[in-house]
Parts: sequence; structure tokens; C-alpha cells
Amino acid sequence: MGRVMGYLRRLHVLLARASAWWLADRRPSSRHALLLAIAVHSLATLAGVVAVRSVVLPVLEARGPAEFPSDGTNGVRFGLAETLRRDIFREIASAEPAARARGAQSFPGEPWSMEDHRAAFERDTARGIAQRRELSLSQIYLILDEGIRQRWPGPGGAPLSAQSYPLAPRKR
Amino acid sequence: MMARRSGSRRFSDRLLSLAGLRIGLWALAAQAFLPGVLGGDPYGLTAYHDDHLFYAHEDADREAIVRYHELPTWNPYYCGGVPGIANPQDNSLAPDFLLRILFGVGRGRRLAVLLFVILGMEGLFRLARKHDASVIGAATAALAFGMCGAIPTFVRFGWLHFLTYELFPWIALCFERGISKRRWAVLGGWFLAWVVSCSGTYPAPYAGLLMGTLLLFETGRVFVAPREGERWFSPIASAATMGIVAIGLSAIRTLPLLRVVFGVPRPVSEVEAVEPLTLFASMWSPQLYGGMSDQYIGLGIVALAVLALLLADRAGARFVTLAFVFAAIAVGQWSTIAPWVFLHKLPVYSQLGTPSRIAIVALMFLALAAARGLTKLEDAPTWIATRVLRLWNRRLPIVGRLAAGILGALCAAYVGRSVVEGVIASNAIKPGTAYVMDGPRRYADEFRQSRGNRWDAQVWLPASRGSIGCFEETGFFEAAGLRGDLPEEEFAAPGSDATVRRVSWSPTRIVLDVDARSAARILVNQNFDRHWTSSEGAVVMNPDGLLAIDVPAGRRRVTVSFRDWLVTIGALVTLGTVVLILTPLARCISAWVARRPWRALVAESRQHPGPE
Repeated sequence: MGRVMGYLRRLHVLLARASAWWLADRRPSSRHALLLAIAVHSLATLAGVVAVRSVVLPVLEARGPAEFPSDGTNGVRFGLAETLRRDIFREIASAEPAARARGAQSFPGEPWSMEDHRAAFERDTARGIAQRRELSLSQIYLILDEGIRQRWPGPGGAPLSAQSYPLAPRKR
Repeated sequence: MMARRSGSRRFSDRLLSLAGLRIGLWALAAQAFLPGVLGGDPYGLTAYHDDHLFYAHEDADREAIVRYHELPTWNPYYCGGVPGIANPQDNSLAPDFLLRILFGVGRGRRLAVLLFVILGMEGLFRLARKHDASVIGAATAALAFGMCGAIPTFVRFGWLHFLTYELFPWIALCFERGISKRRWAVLGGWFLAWVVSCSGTYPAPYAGLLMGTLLLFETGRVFVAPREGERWFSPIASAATMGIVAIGLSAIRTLPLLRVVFGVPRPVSEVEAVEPLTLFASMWSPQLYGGMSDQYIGLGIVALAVLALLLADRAGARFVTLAFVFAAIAVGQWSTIAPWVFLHKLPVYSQLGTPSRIAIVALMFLALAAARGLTKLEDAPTWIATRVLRLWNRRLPIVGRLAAGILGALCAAYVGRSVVEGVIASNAIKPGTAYVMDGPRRYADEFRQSRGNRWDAQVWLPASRGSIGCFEETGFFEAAGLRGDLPEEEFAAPGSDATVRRVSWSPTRIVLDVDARSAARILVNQNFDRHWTSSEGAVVMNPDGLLAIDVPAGRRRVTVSFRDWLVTIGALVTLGTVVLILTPLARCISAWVARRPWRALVAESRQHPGPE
């Protein structure tokens, strides 16, 4: 019994010291303790680096969208044949008169807003075509740019306007 | 001897005292919060046009820096050419832009989100700890604030510059610590400069408001109950140091920016009013008020903040008061005597239109109050045991203190975990919900203007095109003569007898070979700006607004350059400030190394062994 009590007393002292050490906030009291503290801090930093690395790795390892190949000699641009590009341009251009009319209707007397609204409809058309034909949005807009630049005929045979209205943001 | 902290000691204090572990925890929490940002295709964009606009601006800035080794003072890829660094929406000089430079715009933007979230958590943790919150209370508040409802909103809309709100805890911390230690104020100035440099249209003025409010509170405190070494002007000195450092460090951006802010005001006439009860309810119930879920931080945080108030916690009461102050500003023009009505009359603030964006500062203080509330909960077992034993004139033994501390920590951890899980469940950006559009593809060609389309602004620069169709919050000048179908971007004006050949092109420097049979006008298919200069002839504005150079007859090489002298002066001021900061810092470090403090540390510790 006396021996058990002795063990319990020692355990209590040990616990009290451990508690005092845990609850106190002290700097290392010996060279060994200092080295231990440095080792603990280094391990914690390493653990942090490993955690951050595991989080950012999927972002860093991802490959970007492929660049378009150079223009081909057989009329292929942006990876598409000219007939297909003209076809896509016709589709975008055919939607433009309606988009202009809706822009003018929504913002009468505000030319920049009219033009901006038309562009919003053009965006919807471009996204729709890209999705339907399984092409990238960049291809669709590059075709639109090519058509305007080359003055391909739009609705009624006239080329699309190559200009936009100068910036005049309306008050929000 | 050698005790480092004057605040309370708790069982949980050691758990997250290692910064490395904390950063790991924040990163893992951010992973759970941002699976839709950090997973999937990092080149994708959200469907919202502002994400496309900011992507395009950042791409233009990166192109200027990485490909052409120039400062992005002019962005020819948008609107036919607009100011770069001077544009209020530009962030090319913010420290987080380094991520775009290193990893590209798509991946850099995702990593910037992660960086800001982690910084927000760490900043709020440190600020809460400064106010004697327990580790568990501080960590809960840090996680809740770092992942509050405003963050996913900013990400979905592409407003990554608003993520600088995550730096606000650092600004508050540095200001408060700067009252007694000047180096903290210097660090605070760096954080302020970061906010200003990161297209800080809203965060920068709101950071000023935060500083002003804290200055009032701290000056009052110093008058009533000054701490050792504090003088009545100490808070003013801290704020002034932060302001001077911030102005100095960001001068390269601020000087040209101020010219734009006061020269070309943002056309804002918006009236925003939010019902105070709606704002309050949106903090804990996004389901009830769907339109205001930006402010969701969880019922748990609100309840813990109220608990701190009920338990008469002084720091908690201070934070709740500050939360009320900023919530009162966030309700906007809800009443004719609302604070925003008066703020809106001040310079700079008059150009802001959405006061509800300051609600995130109210959330920050609410989270801090909650940290104190949870700390009170954690301290309860120790407090109760101490009081009970005192009835028998007994002291709580150290083992009992530890046991009560463990019990309190377990209770607090349970509550904190529920709070954080609730915030993540409500606010997490799930895969496939934000970034739904493919990234733009590159097409190598010479730069040309196109009619473009601002709604998908990200497409044009990778396709070597500029978008004439555009939108900017600031009403920059745009020439009526811009065209998207020209065979050459630099050409002789109609009626001029000259040939023009492009030798080289970069955003701020165009070199041309001009052969003019008589005096001629050369046009560049970009907007005129008075900061364009020419090595030959004179830069003028063509009647249609295009950039034009009048050259005399003859064959010559003409270099047209964009030179903003305010950027040059600002760069010198920024450089000078960096040198002024780094010189004493380097001196301190070399003196510290020369002292070999690690030896002194051990020797001192041996002389003063800790108590049994």
C-alpha cells in the first residue's frame, strides 16, 4: 500500500511538473532545449510547406489551353477550313441586325449603351455557336474578326461595321 | 523569468503556437473552402464579364512586363488604349501580381485567392490573440472570417482585388501594435500600400475608414487607460507612420492614379440602401435573405459575439461596437442621417457607390467578438473550479488547472468545429460552380485592333488583338476613329504622301520607318493621350481622336513612346521609401547577428531557471 502511495505521489509530482511546463510560456532553458525547439519549429514549418504544396500542386501542374497552329497554306486558319469559317461568320453576322435593333430599343438616345447591348447579344450568339459546334470561344471571335477585316459579306451583302461607339459609361 | 506573454495562459495556447502548423491548417481549410478554385482547370473563367475584364487587364499588364520588359503604363489592348498603372482598376504593382508573373494569369489568379484567404486567417488569428482570445477562439474566428460569404461572391464575379479585405486584420493589428513598436507601423504601411496597389477602388478608401475609426478608439483608450510607455499622441504617430510608409511605397501607383481619380471621375449616382435587419439577418441566414448572402458568417459567430457581450467582456464589447459602426455605414442611404450620407460627400468617397461592401469589416469585428465569446466558454471550467474551491479557501492545483483547461478546450473545440463546418457548408465554392468557361487560346500574330467585344474581353490579347468595344468604370477618352479592319495599324493620314513601315511594336513603344515626300501626318490606330512622345516631329490628336505624329519631309526612323512623368516621379519616391525602410532593417539584422543572441538566450535561461 505504501509503495502504491509512493508511486501515486511521484505521478502527482510528475503531472504537476508537466502541467506547469505546459501552462508556462518559457524560452528554452538549455542548449539542448533550444535545439529541440528549433527542431520542433523546423518540423512545423515543414508540415506547413507540405500542406500548402499539396493544396497548390493541382494548380501548378495543370497544362494551359493549346495554342492555335500557324496559318496553313491550304486556307486553314485557327485550325478550321475557310468554308467552315465563312459559314460560322454568316451565322454570327445574320444575328447582328436583330441585336442592333434590340440595343437601340433598350437604350434610345444612348449610342454607347446601344452598341454595348448589341455586343452582349453577339456574346450570346458566339457562346451558342462555340457550344453547338464544339469549338473554342477564341476560334469564334477570331473568325468574326477575320470576317470584318476581310469585309466578308454580312446580311444584305454589306460587310459588318469595323467600329464601336466611343466609351461613355452611363451613370449606375 | 522569460515569460513571453502578459495575457492569460490556457491549455490550448501551445496547440497552434507554431506558425508553420497554423499555415498548414489554414491551407487545408482553404482547400475545403475552395475546391472549385483550386481543383479543375485553373485556366478557366467564370461566366461573369467582370472576371473577363480583370483577366484581360492582368493579361495586358503581364504581357508588358514579361514579354516586353516594360512597366504597364499603357494598355493598348482595350478601348483602343487606356492608362495602365494609373487605371483605378489596375493591380499590376500589387505584391500578389507576382503570382501572375510567375505562373500566368489563369493560375496566378487562383493562387492569389488562396494567398489572400490564408493571409486573412493568419491576420485575424494574430489580432484575436493580441486581444487575449484563446487559440481555439482565435482559430475559429480566423477560419470563419477568412471563409465568410463575401469571399465566394468576390471570386465568382472576378473581383479578386476585393480580396484585399483579407488584409484588414493585418492593418488593424499593425496599427495597434505600432502604438508601442514603430516597426509594426512600418509593416502596416506595407499592407496599406498593398491595398492601394491592388485596384483598391473600394478597399483603399475603406481601409482609410478603418484606420480612422481605430485611431479614434485607441486615442480614447490611451487618454483613459494608457499602457506603459504610451503617450497621448502614440496612436496618431502609429497611424501617421503607416500612412507615410503607405504613400511612399505606393507612390508609383498613387501619383498617376490621383490624376485620373480627380481628372476623370467615375460616373456614380447610385443610391444603395439596405434594411439594417436584412443586413443583420444575412450574416447568419442566407436562406432567409437570398440576395444578401454575401454577408454570411454563421449563426454560431453571431451567437458567440452576443455571448461575449452578455458576459461583459470588455474586448468583446469593443469589437461589437466597432461591428455596429461599420454595419451602420454598410446600410448606405437607408436614412437621411445614416453615416454613408455624410461620407458620400467627401472626396474619393463620393465616387463610391456600394456601401454594403464595407459590411465585411463589420464581419471582421463580429468574428473578433466571437473569438472572445468562445474564449469565455473555454475559460468557464477553470473559472468555475477556481470559484468553487475558493469557497473552501482552497486554490486550484496546477493539475486541476490543466484538467479544467482540457475540458474547456474540448468544449470550445466542439463549438468551434461546428461553427467552421457551418461556414464551409454554406460558403464553399464547389467544383464546376464558378469557373465554367474555358480559358482563351493563343494565336501568334502582329498586334492589331479589332472591333472586339468587352463581354468576353479575355479572348482578345491571347489572339494578338485589341478590343475597341469596351467598358471602364472610369470614363476614359476613346477615339471615334478607331477601326478593327485596318491592314496596318500605323499609316499615313489621308492626304499625306508618305509610306510607313512598323519596325517594332510594344505597348508603350512603337518604332516606325517613315518615308515622307512632304510634311505628313502619321496615324496610329490607338487613342491619343498627352503622354505619348515622338523622337521626330510632334505628337498631336487627329480630329477623330487617333494618336497622330506630324513629321517633316524626309526618310527617318520615328520612335513613339508613352512616358508618364508622374510614374517616373512615383517610382523614385517608392524606391527612396524602400531604401529608407531597408537601411535600418539591415542595420538591425546585422547588429542582431553580431550580438549572437542565441548564446545570450541560453546563458540567460540558465541563470533564471523556471519555477517548479
